[in-house]
Amino acid sequence: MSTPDTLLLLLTGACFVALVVAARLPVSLSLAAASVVLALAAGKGFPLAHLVEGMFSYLDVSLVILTAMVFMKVIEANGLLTELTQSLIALLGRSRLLLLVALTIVIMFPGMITGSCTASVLGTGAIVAPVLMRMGLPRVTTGAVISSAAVYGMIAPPVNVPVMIIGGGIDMPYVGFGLILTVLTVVPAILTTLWLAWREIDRDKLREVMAASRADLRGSAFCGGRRLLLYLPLAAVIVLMMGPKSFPQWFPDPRLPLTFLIGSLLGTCTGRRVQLLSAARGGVSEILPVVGILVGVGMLIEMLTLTGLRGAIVVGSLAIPSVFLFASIAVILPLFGGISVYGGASVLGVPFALALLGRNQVIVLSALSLIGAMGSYIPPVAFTPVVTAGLLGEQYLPIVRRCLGPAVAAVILGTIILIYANPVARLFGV
Amino acid sequence: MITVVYRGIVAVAVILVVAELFSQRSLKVKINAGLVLIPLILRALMVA
Repeated sequence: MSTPDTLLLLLTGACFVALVVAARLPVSLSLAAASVVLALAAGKGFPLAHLVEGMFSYLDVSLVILTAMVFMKVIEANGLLTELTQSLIALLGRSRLLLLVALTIVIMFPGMITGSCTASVLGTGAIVAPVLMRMGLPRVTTGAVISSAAVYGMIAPPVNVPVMIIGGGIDMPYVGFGLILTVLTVVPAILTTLWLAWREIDRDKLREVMAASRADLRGSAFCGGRRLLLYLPLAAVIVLMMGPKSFPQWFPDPRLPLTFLIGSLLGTCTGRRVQLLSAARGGVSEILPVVGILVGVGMLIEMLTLTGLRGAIVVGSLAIPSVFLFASIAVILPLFGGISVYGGASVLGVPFALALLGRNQVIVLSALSLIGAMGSYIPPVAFTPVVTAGLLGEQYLPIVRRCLGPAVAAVILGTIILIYANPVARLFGV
Repeated sequence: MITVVYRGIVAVAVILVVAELFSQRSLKVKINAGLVLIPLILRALMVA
C-alpha cells in the first residue's frame, strides 16, 4: 500500500473514531462525516452523486429491518410474545436444560429477524428477564444471559447485518448462509446460557415459576381457538419465509418486507387490540440508529471505491502473512466492535474478507461476523450490556465481566473456523 | 404489481421516519432520520 493511501486510511479511521468517542456523535453520522472527509482529502471535492448512490447500498436490508421491527412491536403489544414465553415455561419447566435452551432461542428471536440486539434485549429480553430472576438467577447473571443471547441473535439467520455489510463490500450475495450461521450462533448461544445459568437456577423456585405460568395460562383471555389464532401472525411469517425456499416452483416469494408487513397486519387482528400506528412508530424509533449506520456504511464504501482505496486495501491485505492476519482478525475486529460492530464489519471486515479470498467465503464471512459480534461487549460503547443493564437497573461492567469468558471462547472458535474454512465448508456442503 | 407494493412499503417507511424526525428533540437523532430519509424518498419516487 502506498504512503498516500495509508495516510488517507489513517485519516478516515481517526476521523471516525474521534467523532464517535470524543464528539459522541452517532455512528451513522460519524461514518457519513468520515466519508466526506475522505473525499475532500483525496481531492474529489464533495461528490454528492456518489454519496447519495452509496446511501442506496443497503436500502433493501434497511426495509427488512424496519418492517421486522414493526412486526416485533405488534406481536409484543398483542400479547403473543408473553403467551409464547409462558407456554414454553409451562411446557418445558420440568427440565432445566430444555427450558434454558427454549428461553435462549426466545431471547434470540427478535434479533434473528431484525438483525439488531436491541430488539432482543428490549423485546423478549424484557419478558424473560423477570422470569429468570424469579428462578433464582442473580441480576448480573440474568443480564449476562440476555446480553449473550441477544448478541448471538443479532448474527443469527435470517438477517445478519455484518455479513450483509461485508458481502456488499466484496460484491457477494447474501445466499447460502442459513445452515452455517445457525450452527455458529444457536449452539454457542445455548452453551453460553448453560454455562452462565445452569448452576444458579433454584429448582424449588423453578417449580413455583412453572406453576405460576400454568395458572396465568389458565386465567389467560386467550384459550382454545383464540390461543391458536394468536399464533397466526408468527405461523404466517414462518410459512411465507420457508415456502419459497421449500417449493420455489409454485410458491411466490413475497420477500421479507412484505412478509413482515402481512405478519404485522395479522397481528392487529389477533390477540389484544393493538394501535398499529403507535407500535410502528415505536419500532421505527428503536431501529432508526441501526438503519442510519447502514446508510453511513454505504456512503463510506462508495467513497473508498471512488478514491481507489478499496483496491489498495485489497492489495495490501493480500500481502499480510497469514499468521499475522488471523491474529489481527482475532484481536482488532472485536476491539473495533467497542465502537460499532457494524462499523467494524464495514471498515475492517471487508479488507479481512478480501485477504481470505482463497477460502470459502460463506464460511469466512460467517466466522468474521461471529468474531466481530463479540465486540458488542467491549467498552467504551459495550452496546448490548449497556442496554441490558439499563433494562435491569444494574451496572454494565459486572455483566461484561460475566460475558467475557464465553466471548473469548467464541473468538477462538471463529478464528479456528477461519483457518479451516475450506474443510468446514465441505462438512456443511456449502 | 409487486413494484407498486414495494413502493407502498417504502412510502409507509418514509411517513414513519418523517414522524420520527418531527417528534424527536435531539438534533443528532433528527439528522440521523434525515440521512435515512434521503434514499427512502428517492426510492419511493423511483428517482434512483
